[in-house]
Amino acid sequence: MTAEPSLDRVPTTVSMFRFSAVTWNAHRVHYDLEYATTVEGHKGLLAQAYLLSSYLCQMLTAWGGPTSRITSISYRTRSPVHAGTPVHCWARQIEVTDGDGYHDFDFEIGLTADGGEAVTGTAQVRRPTADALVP
Amino acid sequence: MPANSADAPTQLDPETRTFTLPIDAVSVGRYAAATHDPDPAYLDDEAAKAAGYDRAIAPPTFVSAMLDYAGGPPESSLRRDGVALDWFPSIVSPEAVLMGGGQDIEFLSPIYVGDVVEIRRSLVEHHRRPSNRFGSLDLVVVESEITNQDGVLVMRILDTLVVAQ
Repeated sequence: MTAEPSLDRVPTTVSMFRFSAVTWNAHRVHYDLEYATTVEGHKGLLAQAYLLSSYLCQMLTAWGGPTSRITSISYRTRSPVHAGTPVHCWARQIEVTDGDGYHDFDFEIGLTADGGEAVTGTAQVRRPTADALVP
Repeated sequence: MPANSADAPTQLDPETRTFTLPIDAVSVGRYAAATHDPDPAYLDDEAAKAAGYDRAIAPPTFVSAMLDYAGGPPESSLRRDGVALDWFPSIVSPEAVLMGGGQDIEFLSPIYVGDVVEIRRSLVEHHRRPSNRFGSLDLVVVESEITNQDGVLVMRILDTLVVAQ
């Protein structure tokens, strides 16, 4: 069995800018440090929750391989992640269900930053058996 | 209309809003670059075909991460925090602090580069709960159903917006 999924990323200010630009997200907490800290009282610029969710999906796709498919993901934000903070995505397999030509893997997932769980949730990945493609 | 107390759903805005989003290769490439996602299936038709797709696909969260599906209102119409939000004003005051609370996403069928998807968004839930930091928080849940140009339901999203008044 393949090792459990994990992925490390750093949401840099540049990648956060690019992410806000391509998703048309003008929320100032992601790029305006003075606004984020003095008006809303945050400790720094906040990484977009959607950016963090993309890291979680990357982790799952990399684990499952090119022919796998993420069928669902649910996540909740628990604490903010600030720009430049290294994050560690993890997943713990909790169940495997056999289907016709595939297995469904259910995971608990999370994203750790600054020693705490910033995001937690669940996900399911469908993986074909042998060399088949997902039906 | 005031927001309701703990766990009592308020009367919801019955409005459903529909948007159209073309899935274009430039935006998909930028999204992959911004997220440091090396999967070749987003940029290369042959890599996507080898993985069992018809052609290049959008990253899983490409549609669910879009905050606006068009140019949006002029800058002078944005909230002070930069967000364009003219929906459910009874819940979200102009000074409210907005935070992404999480998502529940079902991936039902691939979304391909070149697709034109329709997004139907509806406000489906609203609760207020106590908060140590803010006193109380409003949780607003918006459901989005995504269909492609062939009428296939490709994705369903429940988006939780956290509102601190």
